[in-house]
Amino acid sequence: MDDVQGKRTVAVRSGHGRRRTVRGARLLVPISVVALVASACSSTPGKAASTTTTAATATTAGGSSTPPTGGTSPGITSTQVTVGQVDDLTKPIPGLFKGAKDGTQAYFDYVNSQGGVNGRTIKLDAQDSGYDDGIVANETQAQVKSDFALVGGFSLDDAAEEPIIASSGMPDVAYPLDQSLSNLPTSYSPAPNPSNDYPLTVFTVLKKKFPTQIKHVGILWANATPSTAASETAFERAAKSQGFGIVYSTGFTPSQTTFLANVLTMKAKGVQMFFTLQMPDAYAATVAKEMQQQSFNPVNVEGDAYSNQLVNEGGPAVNNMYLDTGYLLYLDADANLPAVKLFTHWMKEADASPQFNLEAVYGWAAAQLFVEGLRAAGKTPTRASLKAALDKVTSFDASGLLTTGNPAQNIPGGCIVLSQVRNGQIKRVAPSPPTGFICSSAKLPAPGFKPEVRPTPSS
Amino acid sequence: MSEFISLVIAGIVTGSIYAVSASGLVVTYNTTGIFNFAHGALGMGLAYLFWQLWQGWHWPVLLALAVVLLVVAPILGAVVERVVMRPLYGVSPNIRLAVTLGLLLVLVAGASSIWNQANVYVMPEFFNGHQVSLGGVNLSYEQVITIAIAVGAAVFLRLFFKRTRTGVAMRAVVDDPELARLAGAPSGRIASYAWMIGVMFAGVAGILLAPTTMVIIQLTELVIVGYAAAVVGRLRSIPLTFLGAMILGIANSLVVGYGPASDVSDIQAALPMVLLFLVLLFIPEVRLTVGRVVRVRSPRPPGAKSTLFGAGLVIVIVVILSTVLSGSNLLTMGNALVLAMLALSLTLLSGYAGQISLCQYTFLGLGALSMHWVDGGGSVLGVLLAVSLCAAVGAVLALPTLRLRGLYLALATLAFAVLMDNVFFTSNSIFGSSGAVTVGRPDIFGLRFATNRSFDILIGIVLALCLIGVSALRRGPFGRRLVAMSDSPAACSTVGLSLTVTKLAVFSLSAGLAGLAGALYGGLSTSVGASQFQFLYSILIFAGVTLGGMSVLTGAVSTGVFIAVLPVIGTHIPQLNDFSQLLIGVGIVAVGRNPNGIGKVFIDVSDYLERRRSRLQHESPEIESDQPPAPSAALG
Repeated sequence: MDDVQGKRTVAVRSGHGRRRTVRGARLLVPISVVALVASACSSTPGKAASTTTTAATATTAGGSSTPPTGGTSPGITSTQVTVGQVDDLTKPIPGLFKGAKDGTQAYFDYVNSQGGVNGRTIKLDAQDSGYDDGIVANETQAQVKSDFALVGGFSLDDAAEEPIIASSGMPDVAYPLDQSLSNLPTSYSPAPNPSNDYPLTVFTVLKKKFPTQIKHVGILWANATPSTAASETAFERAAKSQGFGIVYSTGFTPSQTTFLANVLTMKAKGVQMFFTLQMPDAYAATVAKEMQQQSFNPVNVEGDAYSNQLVNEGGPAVNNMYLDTGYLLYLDADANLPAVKLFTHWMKEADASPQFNLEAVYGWAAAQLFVEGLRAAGKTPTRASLKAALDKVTSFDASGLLTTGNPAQNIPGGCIVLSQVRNGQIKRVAPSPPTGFICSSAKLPAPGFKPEVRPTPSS
Repeated sequence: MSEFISLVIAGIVTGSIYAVSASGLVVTYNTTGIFNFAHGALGMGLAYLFWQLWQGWHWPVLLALAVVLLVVAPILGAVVERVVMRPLYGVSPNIRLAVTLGLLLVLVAGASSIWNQANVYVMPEFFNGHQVSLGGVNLSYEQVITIAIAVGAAVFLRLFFKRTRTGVAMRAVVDDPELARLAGAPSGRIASYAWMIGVMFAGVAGILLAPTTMVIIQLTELVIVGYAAAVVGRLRSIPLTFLGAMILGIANSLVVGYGPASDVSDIQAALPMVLLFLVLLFIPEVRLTVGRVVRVRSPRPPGAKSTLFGAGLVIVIVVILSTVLSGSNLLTMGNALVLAMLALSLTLLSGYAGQISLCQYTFLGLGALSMHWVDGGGSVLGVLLAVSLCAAVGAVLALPTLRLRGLYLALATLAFAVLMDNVFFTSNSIFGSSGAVTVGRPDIFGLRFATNRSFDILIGIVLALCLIGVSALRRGPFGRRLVAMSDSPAACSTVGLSLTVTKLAVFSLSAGLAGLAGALYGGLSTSVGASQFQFLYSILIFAGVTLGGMSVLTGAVSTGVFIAVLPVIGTHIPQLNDFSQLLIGVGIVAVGRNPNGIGKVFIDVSDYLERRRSRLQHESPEIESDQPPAPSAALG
């Protein structure tokens, strides 16, 4: 009897449930459709457009909601200009590009201490990329709506900014890692670095110094992103144009921890001069140690490893290593030059524990380039007038901190500082006397090779 | 010839590091039946502790080494076994796997809090440049010691497990704990010994690797290469593991010497996972059989009524929140919904069918790319391509892995994810020279969803439909077949169910659902790049779903919300950044004691309320006959 009752109960329950299911579905469908159509047809953009969530940006949004009295572009009032940037601050490594934020903030602090630009102080709205293209895209979208320009950002995911900046026409004054971003007409780099160009000075200097060794060159390059691979191609073409003979060239991955096999292969191939491209300091130190271990002593030239960590980690193995940089040796040898002193002083003012690194230099220089443009854009600047002003900056060196480049036409500076590690210290080799940069007038003669140049504003 | 010999010797050095880390993995698995994904993290933690004692506090090197390897490592091993692992003996492989992943998160977050990664840590060499020459290669004393430890460990462990009473007892405990206990083997103590030895090996590997890198994540991930070597040894044989490590190290070295220059780094990155995949495919099936005693009772399937209510609730909440939220919070909500959909694909595959997948983010990436490929993302056809392409790839992946299950399936899917990361997503032809592509939003009957608000509502509706669909599927014959397959494949085969068809179907469905999530994720982000689909995220969402509740729909939704929201909280409160990861890790470790996860709590609460209501109704005879069915929790 119990069984029969049980079955009956189940049957009733099933039927009851099905009826309610149908009724539920009937309710669910209209709710969904109404909500969807209403929201999709709404032409009002989401509040995403005008506000973001952090305290800093909330202030920014407040500023933008005030009717701009100093111009028609967002992010500017009669007393303040707000500029945005997106950096890799917490991921993939905590504090990775905090230097960019420090450098940008330091220069704005300096300018604000002088009374700002045309009576306006400059405020930095720095956001964390979260190492996520989606976050970068959305934060950039929000900054396009609320900020006057983008200045000094540094992110591995900056490619996500490209379509937004392209469609908005917002000036972006920063060192881009993504090449398509650097090719935009509103992108202005304080240190132009188009992927199909490479300055020849390092090759002309080394050619004079080591005429035999340049015939047996080995290269290790970062196979991290498509753009790093493109840079390597330009580097090889530039080297070959100066008569360098490349006998070994291969990529390395960010997860690589030993280069012993690379070192042994280069030794077997008779490499006498060794270059690295976009190799971080810790990796460069490891390669140098493994070379020393194998009693393999080529002329070792590092392009991107200038740091205190290189010397600390590499120890005696990095002695005699050459470094070519397109900026002054701000950590040590050039510490007393005026441009470096100003940079160092304001970096320490901006942050209790500032990161003195290349990103900080580029952040500082980008802020300076922006301020130059803003000053030239008149007393009531708009994005359009800022762009027009930046289009005229065909020579920029951040008061001597960087080699002179052409931000308006995206032409890189052709000069370098060649230095060498000697007894644990990085010393200048060229130019001599020890100030400024050494330059070469050599042009890339290889057929079919042209530096990537944007048209001049007039054209 | 001399170059070849030099490269082989260099490969032996690399292989020795792999061998030491893989040996520790095998020791733990061989003696406890638990594959410790946190092995690398344990090694990392001990390496940092050693650095702290030696370099930070200037202890004598030998004293620091002895304290770390002979005192801290065994104690840590015993504590981990007693507190974290002992509740896992006998639970399903999914839970074991997730708990060790949780331990990994705890260790990484803990180490990051103590040793700030913004600073630089350098582990000096122990013998400061002393070296010997062998076959034209100069080897440092450290490298010679690494080779000696690898060989010594292989010999010692082989003899230990074959010739000593303790070693034999350790193997007996993992083969049949009950029988071993009846024979007088103290299984708890033996398991503790095993973990002590395993953690000591992890420490040795970490300290040997530390002079080359002191980056926490890198040190933690390096052991992944050891997985391939361990699988060559079928997770049992130390000598074969050693052989696998040597093959890997030497192949890696020879690729550098003789591989095509432009592709060397790609091949190097892919090599361990190709080997892992191949070994898993070709090891005879009988050797892959892993004993499984499931003591967890799956929750009841969600009722149609309660699922509809839950799905409606999702839409209502999304609509309300979309009017309240603004800015990046709308993006976070969209992310939460998409991740909930991705987690739902795991509920179907892992929760119902018992199949482990550590490559769901790969499908998410494929879905987003498919969306980009069709009209830049502006077409519904992109969504269809995303679903069908991912379903097809899922089926293709399922074919060779049909005979795998549990841990081996997890490793095979992990290998697939890593391969896709290193070969497919990094290819120039996929994300272009910029490394990212733009993805539009579908145009549905003229509705363009230009704002984040409208697109969030669309995603909310799609998620609600998916919840209803998955719930209906679970209640139907296919769902019952999935659960049966999960409970006992052998029994299913006996009664005539085709495991092949069922597995293929569920893999396809799950991948298709992940692809759908990817299409929407791409549209939400508007721009996607390779870094968003790394295999580590697949591990994280698997661990998250385990925490949320693998076989309950509420678990999938809460996982999506949890993973999307926690980093945002961390951004606002930087001090909480490591803490949130720690929290996830601790939560997952705790899942070992409650294998149905947080989602089960909702069911328990719902059941309690239902029982209470039933009791009240029972006291009123006039409404007894119209008693509604006992529903499960809102979303099951």
